[in-house]
Amino acid sequence: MASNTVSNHGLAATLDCDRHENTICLFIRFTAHTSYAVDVSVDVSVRDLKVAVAEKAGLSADSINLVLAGQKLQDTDLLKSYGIGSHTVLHAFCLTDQRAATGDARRSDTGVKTLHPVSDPSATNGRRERKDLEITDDLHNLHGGLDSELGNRGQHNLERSTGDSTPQTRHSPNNALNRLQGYYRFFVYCKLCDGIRPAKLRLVCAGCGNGAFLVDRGPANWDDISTSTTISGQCTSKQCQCTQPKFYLRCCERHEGDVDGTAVVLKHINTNRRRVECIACGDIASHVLIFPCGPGHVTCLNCFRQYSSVCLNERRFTEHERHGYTLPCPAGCQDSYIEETHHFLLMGKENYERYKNFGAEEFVLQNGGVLCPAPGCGMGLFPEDDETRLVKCGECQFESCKDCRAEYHTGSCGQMEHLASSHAIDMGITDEMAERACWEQQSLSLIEETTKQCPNCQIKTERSGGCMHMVCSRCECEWCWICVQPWTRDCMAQHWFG
Amino acid sequence: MTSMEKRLQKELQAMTKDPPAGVSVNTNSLTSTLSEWIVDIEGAPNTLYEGERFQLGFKFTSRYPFDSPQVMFIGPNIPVHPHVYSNGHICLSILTEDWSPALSVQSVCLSIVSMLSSCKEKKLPPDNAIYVRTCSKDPKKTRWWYHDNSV
Repeated sequence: MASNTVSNHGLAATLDCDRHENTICLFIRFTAHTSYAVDVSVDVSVRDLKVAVAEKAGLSADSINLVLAGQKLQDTDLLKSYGIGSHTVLHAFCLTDQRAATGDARRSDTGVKTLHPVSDPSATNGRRERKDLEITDDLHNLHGGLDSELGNRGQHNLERSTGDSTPQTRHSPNNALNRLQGYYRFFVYCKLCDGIRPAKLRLVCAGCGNGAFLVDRGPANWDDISTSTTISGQCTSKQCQCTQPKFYLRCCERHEGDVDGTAVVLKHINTNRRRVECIACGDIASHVLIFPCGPGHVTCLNCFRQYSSVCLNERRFTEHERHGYTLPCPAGCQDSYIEETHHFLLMGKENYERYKNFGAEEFVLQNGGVLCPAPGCGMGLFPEDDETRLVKCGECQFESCKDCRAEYHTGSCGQMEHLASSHAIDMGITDEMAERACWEQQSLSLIEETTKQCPNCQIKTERSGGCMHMVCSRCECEWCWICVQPWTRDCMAQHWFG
Repeated sequence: MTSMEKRLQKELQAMTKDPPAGVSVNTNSLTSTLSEWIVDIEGAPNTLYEGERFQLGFKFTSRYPFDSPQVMFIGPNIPVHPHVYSNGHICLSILTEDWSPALSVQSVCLSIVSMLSSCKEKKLPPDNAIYVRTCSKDPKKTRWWYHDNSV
């Protein structure tokens, strides 16, 4: 909010409301550069708010329109019936009927006073088409239902905001408020907060980015808020003929400046309104992750964290062609993969980094690539499809053999050449001393001694106990530790346990 | 309380309050963290195991229920069954690769009772001798080949 922002001392008194917990601070935004801070009680009506804003902005209250969730706020409704929280930004515009209004009407409408800050670019032409209050959209808690129950609620809210609800239908505004404020429907991973946060659904005009955009209906599902939304509406800006809204979600915390791209939608996370038990711990958590399987199994966020961490450690994630490196419902339901991999941020940053590495490796391997075997490298490489076995890493320059994944060698695979210990300067170092002091060679020989290569994918595998029936954690090949060949019934009969 | 403890508390409550037929938790055996249980089971009527009593030992890691419990027959009476080794190890896929956190102590017990009930002939697994002689103490360290689901 630029220099034009005026903090409104005394407005609460004007509105005759107490400064208690019901007082909220709203930002009334006319244009990108013109907004006013207003303290009001949630118990006042929209009309009262308009009067306060009109006084502050030097406009007629009748000329002001306020927009919430793509819908005009109705004069007789109380602010609390919309579930507006503090620090909500409302967009405002000045015309009573955008389509019917002519340029003259606008002038007469707003010409009474010319109090608009000149930073409004539209004011520089002297006509002041939209000197106006485009009040806001803070869609959080409005619109929203993403399943049938939510859909009904969304509808209910919209009825309210379109003014169809008579005073009788709003018999318990307090309940409505509690209900609305208690239930955020959308959750994002906020990169600025570095955590999961409830989110507000917002919209702007897809054409000009104007926040005062009126939609014909509220969204009822994820498709409705996607870029291919079928919801249309009208922009209140005179210059803009766009009929397409652009929905987006933002973190509910206040973040200054540009927040574009800082919130990732976590579509599987929801408030546990139905009080369903977690499939793992049996607790009824306040927030749950709902798997996209038929029964809609839920886990609490803690158990999801644990589930994905255990699976990560055991490399049980699957590379899914559409959803990426992901996990299914822990109950093993069909078509239940997590569809947005940012949910795995719940594992914490460190694990998420490992997750990304594993995912990238899996992608490389599944697409015919290899990983650079040099210690500490692991770069994904796509060798040329030719005769040569030499694969050179572009990152660390290590040269490896495409077939046995060891350091590049001449001759047949399986006879790994040991690094020749060359003593260019004779300092009296015996071979034995060199052997003991050789960092790299020691770990290499340790790996040689303790591992065997999977007969299918050649990954070096360590056996940590148990039977001789190995299952490759990378390619799932079942093989025999003794024969280093695929597992057979003979292996089981003769040396299952060695 | 860890999620493993919370989950096991709930399972214990459900099983002591409303135990399934032929299955009862031996509450004297429980440790404070609930990481080990003993469950008494009884052979179902009209089966080869009618009237016989067995004990199942459960061990849970802190990763339960994402990690399967270790389950084996313990005590003096080990059922003679083609999928039960004489050391108590059980070859049952839900105990390893088909485990899911949606399963529970109760569902495992019922599966084992049902596995016993469907048996047509009391005999040891064909590879019992070598298995028992060489296997690891922990049945979860055995990679089974689940060949036959009929018994």
